[in-house]
Amino acid sequence: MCFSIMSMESGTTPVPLTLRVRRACDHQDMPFQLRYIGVPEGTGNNNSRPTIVRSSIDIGTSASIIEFLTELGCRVDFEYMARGYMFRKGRMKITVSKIFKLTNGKPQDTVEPISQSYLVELSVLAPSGQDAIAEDMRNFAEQLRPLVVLEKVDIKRMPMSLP
Amino acid sequence: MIYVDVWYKQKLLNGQQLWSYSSFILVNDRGSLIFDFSICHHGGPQTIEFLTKRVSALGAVQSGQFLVNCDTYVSTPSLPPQRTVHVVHNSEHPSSVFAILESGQKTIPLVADRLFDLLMLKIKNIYTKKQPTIESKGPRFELADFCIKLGSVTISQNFKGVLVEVEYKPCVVPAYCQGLMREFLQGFLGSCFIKNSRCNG
Repeated sequence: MCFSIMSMESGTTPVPLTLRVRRACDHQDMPFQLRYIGVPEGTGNNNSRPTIVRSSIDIGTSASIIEFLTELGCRVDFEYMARGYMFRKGRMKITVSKIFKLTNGKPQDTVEPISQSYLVELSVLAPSGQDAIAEDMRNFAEQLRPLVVLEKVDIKRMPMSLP
Repeated sequence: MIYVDVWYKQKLLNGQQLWSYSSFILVNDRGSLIFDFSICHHGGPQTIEFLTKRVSALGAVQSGQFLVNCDTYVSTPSLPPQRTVHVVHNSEHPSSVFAILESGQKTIPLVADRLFDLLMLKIKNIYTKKQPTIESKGPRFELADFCIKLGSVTISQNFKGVLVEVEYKPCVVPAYCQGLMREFLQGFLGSCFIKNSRCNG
C-alpha cells in the first residue's frame, strides 16, 4: 500500500511525503514493513546518474500500521499485490513479478494480473554516498537486453493509473 | 506489551492525580495491573533507597538500570483534527519503539523498529515535538521469576513521582496472578495503602 501525507513547510507549497506498507502474503506472521521513500536525488536535465537514487528508511512494524497511518492523516494512493521471483547478485536485488489488482485489501474474485508482462526491478540498498554500485547496476541491466529493457524511469512523468 | 506502554503514557502524561502518591505496576507481556500507593517516606531518592533495601532484604539481585521515556508529538493546525502521538522507548525492549496515536476517541498502538524515530523526524513539519521528555529510570532487580523496577519519574529533571514495576514472568494473563503478585508486593511494600486497582489486558 502506498500512503502519502502533505508535508507543510511555511511559505512553500506542500510536498507529499510518501510511505509504503508491505507485507508478505505467504508469511502472514511476519512483521509489516513500513518504508519511507524520499524524492529522487539530482533530478534535472543534467542528471548523469545511471540510476534513480532515493533515500529510504525501512521499519519493521506491527499489523496496526495501516490504521495508524490512516489516523495519522495519510491517504491511500494505491495498492497492489506482487507475485514472482527474487534473485540476488551481490548487493543487488532483482525481482521479477506480476502485478495484481486489489480491492479493499483483497484480491479480486478473478485473480488476473494487470498485465501478462513481468515487471523487472533492480535495486540496491546502500549507505548514502556510495554511488559506485550504480555502475554495476547499469552493467547488469545491459546484460538483460534485449529481452528486458531495464532503464531509469522518471517517476514524476509516469502515469498514476494504467490505461 | 503494548498495554504496559499505554499505561506508561497514561501515568506519565496524565500524572497529576498520581504524583501525590507513588505508584506500582504489575506487568507482563499481555497486560498490566495498576495500583497507586502512598508511602511514609518523603522525596524520591529516599523512597527508592527505602524500597531498594526492602527488595534486597527479600534476596533480589540488582541487574543494572532501566529507563523508559516518552516523547509527545502534536499535529499542526493545518492537519485537523488535532492528533497526538506518544513515542515510548523502553530499555527492556531496546530495539523497539512503542507509539500510541490519539485521534478523537480512537487510540491506536503501534510497535516498530528504532528507525521509527527517524520517520518522526521526517514528518516534523506535520507533527511537532512537545517538550519536555518524560522519563522513568532507576535500578532493576531480579528475584527468581520476578523482575522489579524502582523508577524515579522526572519531567525536565524535576522529580514527579515513583513508579514501582513488578513483572511475574511465567504468567501472561494478569488476572491469573493478581493474588500472587499482591502478596509478593506486600513482601516489600509492607502495609502501605493500596487503592485504584486496574487491570489492562
